[in-house]
Amino acid sequence: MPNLHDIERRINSVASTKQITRTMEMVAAAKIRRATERVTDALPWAMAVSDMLINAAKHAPMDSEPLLQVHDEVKRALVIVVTSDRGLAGGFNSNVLRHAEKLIREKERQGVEVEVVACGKKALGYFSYRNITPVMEFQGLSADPTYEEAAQISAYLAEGYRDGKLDEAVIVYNHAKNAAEQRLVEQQVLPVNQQSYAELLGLKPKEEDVFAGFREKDDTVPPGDLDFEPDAESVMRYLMQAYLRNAFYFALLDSAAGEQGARRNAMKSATDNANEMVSTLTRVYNRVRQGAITTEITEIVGGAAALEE
Amino acid sequence: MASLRCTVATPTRELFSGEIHYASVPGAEGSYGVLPGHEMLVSSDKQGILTLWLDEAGNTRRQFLLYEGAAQVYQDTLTVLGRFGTDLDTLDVEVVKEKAEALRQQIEDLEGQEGEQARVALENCKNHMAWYDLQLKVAAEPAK
Repeated sequence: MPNLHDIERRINSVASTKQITRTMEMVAAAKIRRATERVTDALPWAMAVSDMLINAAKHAPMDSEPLLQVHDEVKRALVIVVTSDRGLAGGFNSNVLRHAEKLIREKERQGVEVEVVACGKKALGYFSYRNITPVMEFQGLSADPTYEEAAQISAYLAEGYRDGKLDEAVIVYNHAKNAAEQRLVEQQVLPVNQQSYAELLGLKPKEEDVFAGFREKDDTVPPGDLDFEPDAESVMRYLMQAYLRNAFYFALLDSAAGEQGARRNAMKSATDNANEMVSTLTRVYNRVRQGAITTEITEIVGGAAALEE
Repeated sequence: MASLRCTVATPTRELFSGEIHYASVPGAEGSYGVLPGHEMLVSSDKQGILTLWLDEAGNTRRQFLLYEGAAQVYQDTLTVLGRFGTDLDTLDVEVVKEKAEALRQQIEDLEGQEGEQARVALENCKNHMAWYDLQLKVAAEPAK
């Protein structure tokens, strides 16, 4: 049976841990708001790029844009893994990393050479431990992702895809479905998938698929003519680059919002558990204290009785 | 006179959204004007000043400095996007100079590094530096 002092020390320790987890929970809640604002700020650009692609797709000859071509054979793939820099967020990172590793192993079994881009310290640590050296790595940006980070990844991918060095790109990240729930997403960025990023973000309903025109070669063109300046090729080139950057930027923003949501959940559970533990320990403390008092009284009564005899 | 709806945005924020009467857009091959009823157009833009007339006579104007982007006129809606962009009225030269200095240091560090990531990052930083240089150049010019 532990003595009173031990239990008291334990209660104090749990209570101070609870203070930390409670604070972390509140900080994460505030950061969710900031992350949501960042997504809102980025939406006008994302929607405009999506709109331009939809409109241009109906009028432009697309055979010349290399980023819209599907390579015959996938020999080399780029897997972009988005995690957080810090832990204490439940299964947030382990879900992404386990899935990414499974995906990489599966591709390697199919004879595809895989290059990895690690976003977040957790991803970097995980892959380094498994002797996988990322071609690009980003640290310290998971909570505040920058457009520059997305631009660098997309520049590397676009260059590789145009030169035929890369044939496929997949991004694995946590989508913040709402403030409390995250969903693991494996999104194929190139070649352009049936599911466009606008759809994934809920910007456009499914039937307004940006790239439907390219795949199905629809001959019906809406009334009126669309002019391109200086020419359709350079416009499409710019828009596809913007599409790639957006795909990465939104994945990073989404993951940042998810990270804070996951951390808030984890810290809320930790706070709840700490509360429960404090009340259990307080009960034990009182029982032990009562037992000690009873023993003391018994000893006094016993001692007095012995003296009387 | 009729007006057209206009949105100006960069990847991280919206710079303007509202009704306008005329716009001068910095296109890839020189500036072009957009009035209500303009034909449908998608253009890729280089860099320059976007001028928006908020009233018919052009007495109230907003000017934005944009660097690399695209513009679209579609059903009386003008959308102008810039890789970088800023409202000329709020351009703070001192802040830009500070940022440019920090970036210059970063470029120097990157130039000594090897590898694919450093190369891509360096290219990106140089692009960003060109944007700061453009802002400083425009700020130094007399107002038109």
